[in-house]
Amino acid sequence: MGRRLLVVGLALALALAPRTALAHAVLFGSDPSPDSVLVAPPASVTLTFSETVIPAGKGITVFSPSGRQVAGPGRVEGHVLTAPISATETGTYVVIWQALAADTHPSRGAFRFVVGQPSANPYLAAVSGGEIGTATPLGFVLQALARWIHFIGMALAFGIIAYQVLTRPAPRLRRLPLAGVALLIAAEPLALIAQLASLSFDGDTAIAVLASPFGRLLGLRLGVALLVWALLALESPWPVLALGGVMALIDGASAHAIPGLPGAGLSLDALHVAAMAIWVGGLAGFLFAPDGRFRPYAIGGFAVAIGSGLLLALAHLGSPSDLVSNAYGWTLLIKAAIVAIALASFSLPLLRRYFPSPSGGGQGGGRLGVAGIILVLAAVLISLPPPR
Amino acid sequence: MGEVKFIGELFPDRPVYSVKPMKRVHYAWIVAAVTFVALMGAAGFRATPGVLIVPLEHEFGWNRAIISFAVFINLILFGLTGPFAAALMNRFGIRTVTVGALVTVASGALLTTVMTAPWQLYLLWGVVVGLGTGCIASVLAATVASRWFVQRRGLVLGALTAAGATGQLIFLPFLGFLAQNRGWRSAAITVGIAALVVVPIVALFLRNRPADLGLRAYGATTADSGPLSVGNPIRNAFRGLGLGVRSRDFWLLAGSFFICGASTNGLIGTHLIPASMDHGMAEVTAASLLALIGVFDVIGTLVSGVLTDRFDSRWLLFWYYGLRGLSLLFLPYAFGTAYFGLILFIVFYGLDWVATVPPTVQLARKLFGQQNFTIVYGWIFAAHQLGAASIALAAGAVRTFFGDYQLAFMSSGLLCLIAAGLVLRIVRTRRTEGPGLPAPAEAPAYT
Repeated sequence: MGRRLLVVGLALALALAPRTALAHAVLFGSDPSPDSVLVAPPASVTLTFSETVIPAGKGITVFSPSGRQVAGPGRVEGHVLTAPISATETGTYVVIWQALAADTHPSRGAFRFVVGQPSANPYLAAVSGGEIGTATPLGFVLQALARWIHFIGMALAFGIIAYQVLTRPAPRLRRLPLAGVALLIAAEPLALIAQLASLSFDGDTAIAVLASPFGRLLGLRLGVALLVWALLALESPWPVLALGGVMALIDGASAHAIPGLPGAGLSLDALHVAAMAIWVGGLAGFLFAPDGRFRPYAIGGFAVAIGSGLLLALAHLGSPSDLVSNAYGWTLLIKAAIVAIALASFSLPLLRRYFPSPSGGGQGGGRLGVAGIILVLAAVLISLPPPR
Repeated sequence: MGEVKFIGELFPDRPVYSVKPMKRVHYAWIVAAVTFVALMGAAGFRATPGVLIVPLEHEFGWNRAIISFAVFINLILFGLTGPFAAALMNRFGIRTVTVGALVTVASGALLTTVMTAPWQLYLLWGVVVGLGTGCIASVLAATVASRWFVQRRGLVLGALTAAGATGQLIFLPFLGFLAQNRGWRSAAITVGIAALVVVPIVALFLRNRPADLGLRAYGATTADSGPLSVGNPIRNAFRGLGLGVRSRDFWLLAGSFFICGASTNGLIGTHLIPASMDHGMAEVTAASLLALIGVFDVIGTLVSGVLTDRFDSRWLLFWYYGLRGLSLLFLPYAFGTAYFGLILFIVFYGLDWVATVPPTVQLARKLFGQQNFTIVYGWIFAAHQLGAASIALAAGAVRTFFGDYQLAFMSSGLLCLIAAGLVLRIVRTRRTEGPGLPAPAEAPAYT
């Protein structure tokens, strides 16, 4: 009766799980607009975004020509972020903003406007500061790293269990799911640090981030990871596999949305991640406890991952030229190339002759390495803004 | 099935089969009822300092810190008294200890009316009342239920545990009313007199064990042969701790109970009202939310007792902690969605507020044996109170530093999920039994 209750409980948790509309917040316009010249200091700064935003920390800071912070506490109304200003100086003002999109991706930016004649401003450097996508380089690297660790955790925690269900229980694989849970847990603080690195390291921002959908999803992912740990105490694999499905859906909820089809993006992404977990986790399981029965499932998992990946790529690319015109496209291209090479090496018996390994162990190790590289590229992709 | 239901069995030489004997209530139910009254009263006495804070500030000009410190001593001693109370009950009997505790509470409460200095408050409300109420707490419920009941043990345990919540629900508004309208002394005197009124009831009707009346425990097939323990009760209490700490299961139970205390009394009990007010709710509404939790708590604990009689306690605890953890993780969403989400939270959360007690007691009994477990359970209960005290402080600090409780609620939710994992790991692995540790009464049946 425990198991039946468990399934009901999970279904309930899933039904209660919050759904968010997803995209990156882009600054559509502002009042005063960037680089505009005014005759008198404005009473407020208003920013209009492409979607609903949450101010991260203060949200808007404005520096007067003398370097004084002149913006009051900001207010948010849907897409619009406003902060009052009390200033009298003439010269160049610098506006720095930071916000979180509904899909928890951070954005920040800076621009200037001039009252009267342009002047110096100690914060002018922020306006020309380089950014990758909407994150800082450090934040971007950490975010990709956190995602990568999360993906490996998924593969070990759920894929290894699935492998044993599909083949047979292997005592040698006992500890791997626990290691997977540890990685799933370790990825979360790293994701938080990455988010702060993309915004700013201060208490206000940390609270805003934790109070945002990002923080809630972080809590949910940690919760699922801990529940997996709890249920690993059981002999039955099914509750853990069900949680794997929940985790894939949470991943879907924090991935890039497909414009116009939010549900499709979530479920495609969940499918993509779940297939990845079965394929990569299975490869790892095969390495430690080889079992030929896994072969059809490996092919199946790989095929589903490729299929869903192609659909996601189609959805996120506006035109073929996007493939070579931005970082997202380039990364996608490299990932596709590696997947194609992997596919060829797995399927061509000719090539296989050059890597003789009767036990399959060495071969498995190589494939696992390739899978690890593909996961790195996936982690980078998910941290970059898609063209569409 | 050899159930003892007839007083006629007291006289085995008299034939009871010839005439249908008049069905009498088994004496175990009378003992349970008397214990219920004592526990309900004790919970009320414990709630009193909360009512006294403001009047004491007004009369003596003491600041909040002084009064909070007395409450803190009270809480700590209440928690730590458990194992020693259990050892005393094993040595001198339930009746003696309960009567002694009631007299202690009464004298502590009555003497406060003539106090003049803060140290007297520490001594009376902190030490005297803390020790007294600590003897009439969860350990008493566990002792009575395990000695007097074999069948329906879980139900009785649930009812006795719910007595605490009931007592607070009844006493708190009443004492608050008295303190407001008749002065705080009348509230203290009421507590003292109420404790003294219970004394003769306990002395007359409470019995240490069924054998004292020539009975068997309710639903027992064999007579309970346990005599009173010997030796120094304090040393016995520490011996019980020694028995516990050598067992992995003790740490699993104590750890999960620590989290239980942290996520109920410590977090929600202390901080739900201010957190609700942070989100723009009126204090009266917020306080009634807490009262509503109390109502669902009574229901949940009774149901939990019945479930404990039927299902594996580890699974029950897994569900309680798991659902509590999920409801805490969803609480931040609930504050966003008007009242519906919050009501849903209160129902889920209230239902398993202290529902964890009956299965935990049951597990402790199976792990540590009928003779000794109340002392070990006393220590596990102390972990509960420690968790409550520490998270109450921590959540307050989080609020001060970050300006929002979300972090505290979410981390408590995650802690509950850890507790869910801890309880499933109880008696899973074979291990060498420590000296004096009897084998678990029921082999783990895991699939």
